[in-house]
Amino acid sequence: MSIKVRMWGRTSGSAPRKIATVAGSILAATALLAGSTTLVAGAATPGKPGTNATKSPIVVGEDWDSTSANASFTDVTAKTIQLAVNQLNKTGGVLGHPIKLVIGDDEGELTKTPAVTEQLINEGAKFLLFNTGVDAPAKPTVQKLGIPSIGVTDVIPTFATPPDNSYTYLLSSPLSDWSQVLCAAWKKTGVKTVGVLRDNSTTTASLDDILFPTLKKCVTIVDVETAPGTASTVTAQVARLKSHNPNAILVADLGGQFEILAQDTVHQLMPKTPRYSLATIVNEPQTWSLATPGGLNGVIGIGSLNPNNPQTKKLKSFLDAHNGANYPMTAFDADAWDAIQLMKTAMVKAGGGSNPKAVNTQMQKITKYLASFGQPGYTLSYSTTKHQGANGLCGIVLQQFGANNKPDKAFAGYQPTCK
Amino acid sequence: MDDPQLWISAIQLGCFFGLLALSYYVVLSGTGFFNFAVGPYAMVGGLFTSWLVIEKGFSLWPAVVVALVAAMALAAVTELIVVRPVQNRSGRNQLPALVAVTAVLFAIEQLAGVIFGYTTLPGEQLFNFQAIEIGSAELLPAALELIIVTAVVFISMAIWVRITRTGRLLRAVGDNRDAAALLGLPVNRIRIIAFVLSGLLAGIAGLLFATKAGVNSDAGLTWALDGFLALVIGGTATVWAPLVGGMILGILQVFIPYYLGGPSLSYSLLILAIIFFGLRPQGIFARRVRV
Amino acid sequence: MSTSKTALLDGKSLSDGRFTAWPRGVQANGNALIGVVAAVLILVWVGTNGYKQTLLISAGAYALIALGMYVPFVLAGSLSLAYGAYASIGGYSVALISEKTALPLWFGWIIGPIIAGVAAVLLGTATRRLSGFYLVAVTLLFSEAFQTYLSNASYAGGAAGLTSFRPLDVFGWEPSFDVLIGATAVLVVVVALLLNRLRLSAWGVVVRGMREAPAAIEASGARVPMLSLVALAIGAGVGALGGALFTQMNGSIQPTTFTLNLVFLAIYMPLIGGTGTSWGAALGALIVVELTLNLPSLHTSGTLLVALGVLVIMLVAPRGVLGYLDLGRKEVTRLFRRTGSRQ
Repeated sequence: MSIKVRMWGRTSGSAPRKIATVAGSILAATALLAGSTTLVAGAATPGKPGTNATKSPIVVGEDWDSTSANASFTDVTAKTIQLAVNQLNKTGGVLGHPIKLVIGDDEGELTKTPAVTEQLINEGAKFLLFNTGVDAPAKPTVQKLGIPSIGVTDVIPTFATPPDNSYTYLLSSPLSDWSQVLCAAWKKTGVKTVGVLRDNSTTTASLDDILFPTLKKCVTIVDVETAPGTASTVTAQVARLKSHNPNAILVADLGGQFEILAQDTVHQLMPKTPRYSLATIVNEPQTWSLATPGGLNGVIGIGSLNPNNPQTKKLKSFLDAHNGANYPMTAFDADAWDAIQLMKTAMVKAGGGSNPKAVNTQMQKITKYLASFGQPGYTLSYSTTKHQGANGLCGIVLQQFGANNKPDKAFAGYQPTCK
Repeated sequence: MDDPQLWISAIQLGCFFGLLALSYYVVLSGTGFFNFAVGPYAMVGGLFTSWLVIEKGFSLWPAVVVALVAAMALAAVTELIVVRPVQNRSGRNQLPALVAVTAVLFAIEQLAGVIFGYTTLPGEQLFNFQAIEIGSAELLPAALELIIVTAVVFISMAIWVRITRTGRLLRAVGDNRDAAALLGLPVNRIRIIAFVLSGLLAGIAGLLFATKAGVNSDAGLTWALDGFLALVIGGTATVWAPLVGGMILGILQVFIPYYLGGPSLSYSLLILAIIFFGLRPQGIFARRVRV
Repeated sequence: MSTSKTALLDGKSLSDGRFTAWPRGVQANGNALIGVVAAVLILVWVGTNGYKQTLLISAGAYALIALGMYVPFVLAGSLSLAYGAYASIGGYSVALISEKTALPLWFGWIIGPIIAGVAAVLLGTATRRLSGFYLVAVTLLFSEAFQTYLSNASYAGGAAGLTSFRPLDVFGWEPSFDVLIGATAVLVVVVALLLNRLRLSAWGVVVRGMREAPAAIEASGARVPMLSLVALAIGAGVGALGGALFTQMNGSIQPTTFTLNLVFLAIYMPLIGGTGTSWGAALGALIVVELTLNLPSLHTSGTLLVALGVLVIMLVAPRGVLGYLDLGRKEVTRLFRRTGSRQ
């Protein structure tokens, strides 16, 4: 008896099946050809042209990671970017030229960023907005092609520091400022030993590599516990931290589910220990309800919104008008808004948006731009050597959660002041 | 080892893994197949409920029903459209069905992301009551729900398998499909019942566990792996074996990081799996060897 | 007896054991010719466009990983999900050679596959009695353990990984990026060619026989466990090449670069493209890259399409695109012949 080889195939059959096979293979070949012509044609999602701006549109690319866990904040940022662009187009665009947004998505994967960047530039983008956690891999590409780019919500300096940073800019307060503010707060409130709980993501690791050397100069880090970002439980890690009896706990992660789980667990096991958060939990309103009631009470987070800042108030009323009252404004909204305003300023001063190199030169001449976030009077400035906009420490506001799990209060223990 | 909070966490994980393993067990008994897609079924049970309540304003119990029905429907589709045809075609070769079910796992995961979005949603607590203090630890209502429902489910399953005709036929059909068909047993009907039941069990598991740390569309793969491990550790001798396996896995996942630090968990699970699968693939409660 | 031998030799054939129109060697050469022509056409299409070049790099890396999985999976019927780890080994070898030593980078391209091969043999030995679902689970755990290891390895940059490498230096000649793009295509073509030859060689026949009738192979004197380990080692080496390629061209690597998603996609590529020949893996890689990277209008449901597509293919066209096209070709040929000879 022969050995029947039954791999993936089917035994051949009657005439109708043969006809179907021929037809099917013709279809498959056609599909392949069609697919390759889409490759040739490329696929661009056209944006909406403005209403009052009537000249030829300026294409601006946005790499928006709406797929990975970062979607929790990138979606907010993207919405406000679109709002800001619409507003800009409504009021005449850039010298009469409307801004046309084209969108890409790197899905939070470092390997996809270069491809998405190239794709946006392929579609004619003369300016790039990076609304993603993985903007750094784009640097070689934008350097090579000379397109000014803003890492809209990025706080890790890598994007705007050498090498390959001639065209890249950041506007959030850099991490080194964070550690200075934390040290000052801890000094003022008598914290000498700190235990750290963090996730195992690349971003957190990069963050910690930058922060810890400064932090170690002002406190003793008694223990660092790591857990996977998708962990269902961190009880073991927190129990280990508890055994070292630190004065305060610092939680470092990408936010979202992990942050809430961490805060809840620390609250359960160490209810009297002050908790500090490096995550942008202060700016993620949709995560506050994930926590147990009162689970976030007392958490001090690195935030950037002070309700007394007039620029913040102006932006808040604009957002309320467009999104409904009680829109929970976050630092991401402020970042998005300011990124568009900075871009507009540079383009206008360069006489238009069509020459990326000229726009880039003008970006580096922006000084004392009044930011929509930070303590009152906070400004951003750039120069040929300064690609991170922050001026001083007062872009940072230490916000504290109340028993209602909302960061309503400014931490009374310490706030940085504008020099 | 005496911190009650650690034990509560371990038991919570144990119940969840036990339910997932039970879901695997039902399909394995009835069809001889490891249905990796139970991970996504559980994810749908939790995520769909939360999405309906939070984004669409449904009230709680209708949302729960809809989500569980969806999980069961996905399970039925898996069997009817994917597993049965592929298995019919490939006979003794396990691989095509295995690859097909991982494709199903991914399809459900991606579909959930597209429909429900990619952000994590909080789980929905079914009953509202005060947390209970146990020594220095806190037993949250969500954890208590999970424990009680797990107990109820396992007891019911144990009774069902022993008393009802379908329950007793489950094993007969799974052990030897051809013989069962020869005997005139309703093989296809039993298979469908097994799959749908596994969908229900997984959906319940996901729904109850979602309250611990929220749920998002990515959770399917990790949960699928957890449930599989729990089943293999526990074995397939009785309905209770998956629960034992789940508890052991839960304890390992809490206490290994506690004593040896975070990274050691991945290494330990790998070594454990190699040893267990290699030396005792039939699990603690053995019935048959099928490697 | 001849029927079964034919059936065993022809990976695309049916159990009716019919001879195909062309002898095996010629058919393989035909496939190779098509593969080379396709590669040339793709290179022409890519040109110097940066975006398309990035697509090609991804496709090339995916293709190599898929080809790596192809060897043990399609030939020996063993599905291992450890390929993310093997690709990482290849990538980190290049990165570490750049970072920690003064050796030229192509050392990493050689050492990486060797280390990956050794790792595969070790893992294969530990799991030699496992198959099917158990093997999948263990290799998944291995991938996770390996990723955890990389995240905690300070010599490898920990979770932040390694970036900015020295340029590739081949005895003093530093090839430009465009040349490297061409080299990528050449590499994939050469590997696919070699693997196809392997599949059709005596060794390949024995390995495939091992999957279908292990007792017969053992009886003929070939040692099954050795063969499996060799197949695993080759596959891991090829996968590591894919990792080295990706890392070299993209200039950075992190523990999370080669995700599990990628590994699953790598399984699906030979299925989509066609398992009858190793070119199927390459075609599948192109299709997957097109779907997941080049269709922005679908806005990231590319992976969903791939998963659904695989299901459809497994149910309707189990031989994948190439198999289907080939079947179509045979039918068309037969139709013409019948019309011609009036039978």
